[in-house]
Amino acid sequence: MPEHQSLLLSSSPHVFTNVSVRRLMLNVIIALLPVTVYGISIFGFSAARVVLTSVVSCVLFEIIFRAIIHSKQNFGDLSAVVTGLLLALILPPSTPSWMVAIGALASIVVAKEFFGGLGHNPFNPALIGRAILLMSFPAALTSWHRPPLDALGGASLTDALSTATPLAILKDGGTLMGAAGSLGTDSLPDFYTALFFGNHAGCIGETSILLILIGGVFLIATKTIVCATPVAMLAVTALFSALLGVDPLFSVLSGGVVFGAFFMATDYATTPLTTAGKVLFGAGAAVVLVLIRQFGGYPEGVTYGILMMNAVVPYLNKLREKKYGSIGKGAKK
Amino acid sequence: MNKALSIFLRGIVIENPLAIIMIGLCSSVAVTTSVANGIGMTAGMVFVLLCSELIISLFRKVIPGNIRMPIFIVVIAAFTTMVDIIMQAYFPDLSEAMGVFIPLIVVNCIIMGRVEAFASRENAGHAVLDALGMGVGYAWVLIGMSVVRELLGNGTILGFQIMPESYQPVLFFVLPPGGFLVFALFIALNIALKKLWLGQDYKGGK
Amino acid sequence: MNKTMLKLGFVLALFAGVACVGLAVVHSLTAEKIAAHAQSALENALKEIFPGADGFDDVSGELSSLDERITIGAAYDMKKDGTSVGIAVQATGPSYNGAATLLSGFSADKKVVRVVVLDLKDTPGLGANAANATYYVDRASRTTFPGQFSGKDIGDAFEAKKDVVAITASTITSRSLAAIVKASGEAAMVYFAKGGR
Repeated sequence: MPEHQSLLLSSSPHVFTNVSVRRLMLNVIIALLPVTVYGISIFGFSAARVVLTSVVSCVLFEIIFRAIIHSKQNFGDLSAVVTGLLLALILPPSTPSWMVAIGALASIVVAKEFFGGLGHNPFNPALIGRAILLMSFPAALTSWHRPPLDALGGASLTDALSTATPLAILKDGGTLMGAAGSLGTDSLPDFYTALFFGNHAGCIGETSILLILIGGVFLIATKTIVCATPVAMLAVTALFSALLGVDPLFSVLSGGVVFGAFFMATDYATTPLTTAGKVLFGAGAAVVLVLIRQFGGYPEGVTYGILMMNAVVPYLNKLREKKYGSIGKGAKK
Repeated sequence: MNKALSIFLRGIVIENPLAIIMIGLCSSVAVTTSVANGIGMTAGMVFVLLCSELIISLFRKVIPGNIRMPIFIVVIAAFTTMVDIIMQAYFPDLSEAMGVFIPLIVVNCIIMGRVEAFASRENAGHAVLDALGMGVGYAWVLIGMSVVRELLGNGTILGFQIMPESYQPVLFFVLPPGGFLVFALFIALNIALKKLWLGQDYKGGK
Repeated sequence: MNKTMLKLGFVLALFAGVACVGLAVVHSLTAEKIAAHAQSALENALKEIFPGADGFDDVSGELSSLDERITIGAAYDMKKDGTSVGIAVQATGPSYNGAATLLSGFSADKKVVRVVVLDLKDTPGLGANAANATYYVDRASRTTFPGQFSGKDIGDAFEAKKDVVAITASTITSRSLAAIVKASGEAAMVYFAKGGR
């Protein structure tokens, strides 16, 4: 190879560390393991099937699509595995396998590869997958089951176990105590505890707040994510809910807010780069999700809240804290 | 003769009004939820385009330059209203389903654009060929989109069950976001066709 | 200047005039057909509800909705051999994606006879199933969404997910349509209480 060709000309960043995409993705997978294992343990075989289908089809669709367009294969960076895992964790455990595969197709091909692959996608792939499934199969995506081990000790999701989530109960005009009763608790502190430990109906990965927090702290400790977005998102969810007269603690503990705040709103490609941008991103997503919960047609709004903020990320990125090389306001022109 | 042929062929792929010039899109995403709507919209649209281009081209020498726009609008609006009335009389169900999009043909950019850019400066024969070519280009994209959307989103074509009974429709395709996705795929398809059509002459880009 | 203005105005008026004549011709050829369509659509719907009736009185002015969001468009006192067999009420109210219009038939014994969806702009595959003749809220008895109202008492709650089976994933549509039937029924009751005609 001639000498001059080994000289690389590239734009910033010029600092290299040993942090690779693969390493970061591995961190996310490790952080997701507790909720995944817990989800499978309470919802049983059905949840394992959803997780496996989702991960395998995400990886396969990426390989097939990249082969069709003669592009470099990069399944080694594990990003498709992470997308598959995230998608599975925000689906109900009873989702039929073929629907999961359609969701994987939407996530990987439509939301990611059509835009140029990892890093070029404007919207969070897993959330796009869920949004398309929710639009297409509203019945299947909003049918919930009580964890079977809790009731029967068996591991299959039967009609007898179908139930409404606490958020859905409130949406249909129920009371907070009614929602508490659906988890078999009769006082608010017990209700909050039940929500926190997560042995109740919901998406595979969103029920146990405790395990999500453990995963989130691991990501922050390994510097995979920074805490600005999740903190802003959870704080604004609580504040804005309280403002609209909804119990703030319930708003944060129910549904998928905590999962979304730590694992969806911190995706590198689809969220702002600056701290100010991250805070605004989290706050905006929280406002949208609370508005959807209160006034929208769906009981839960985390998916659309984050997706809508994804769309304004380019603008948030323009809010620089400091422009390097610029002259201060006082200087003469 | 060769020029006439190229005027007609141009609108089909190379300058497809929807997929290349990208005008008149709102109604195309909105009405393509069923094949019947797609065909109805195409028929109305092509009729108005053909008549307007013909009339404007015939009278192009007597239309004063500084009031040409209002005159174009009067002509287009007259034909659109005729289509609207005729549909109400003979295809009441279709008229009901298309709702506001038939009257909105008046402001469809394809018609105004072709009248202003082409018919107002070419002879009547060429204007008719241009309208037909653009019409065919509009038709295959619009009807193609509605076939894909109705088949996947409802399991039927023209109301007849095509997919097996066990097929669960993917509602995404009949909802607006699905319309945008299907439209994007048709743009990609049209670019691929354009590459094939032009071969060596293809210069990249759109 | 003034002269060109006049000339331009004249040319534009000429074009507009010719367009008007064209439209007038088309309109005169089709007006009858359009009116006939509207008439036969209504008569078909009325026949569907009261198959036995052989005539009706238009009593539209005598009914008014008690629910301010819902307006009564028209009402027909259905007759058979000169005696009333019930009343058909056409009512419009807000629903998902715009207004919906229903024609509901009620008998003098405060029962819903039948409900027909006249106009509904809803999402295909979801709320639009309310007007779909092959969408069943109860597959076993082949009951459609409007079909489930037949035989209900007007005094019932008419609440989706309680005594009205909702369309899957379209609670808002189901709720709105049930409210329209309820308001029509209440207006009909007021009419019956006055002794009809």
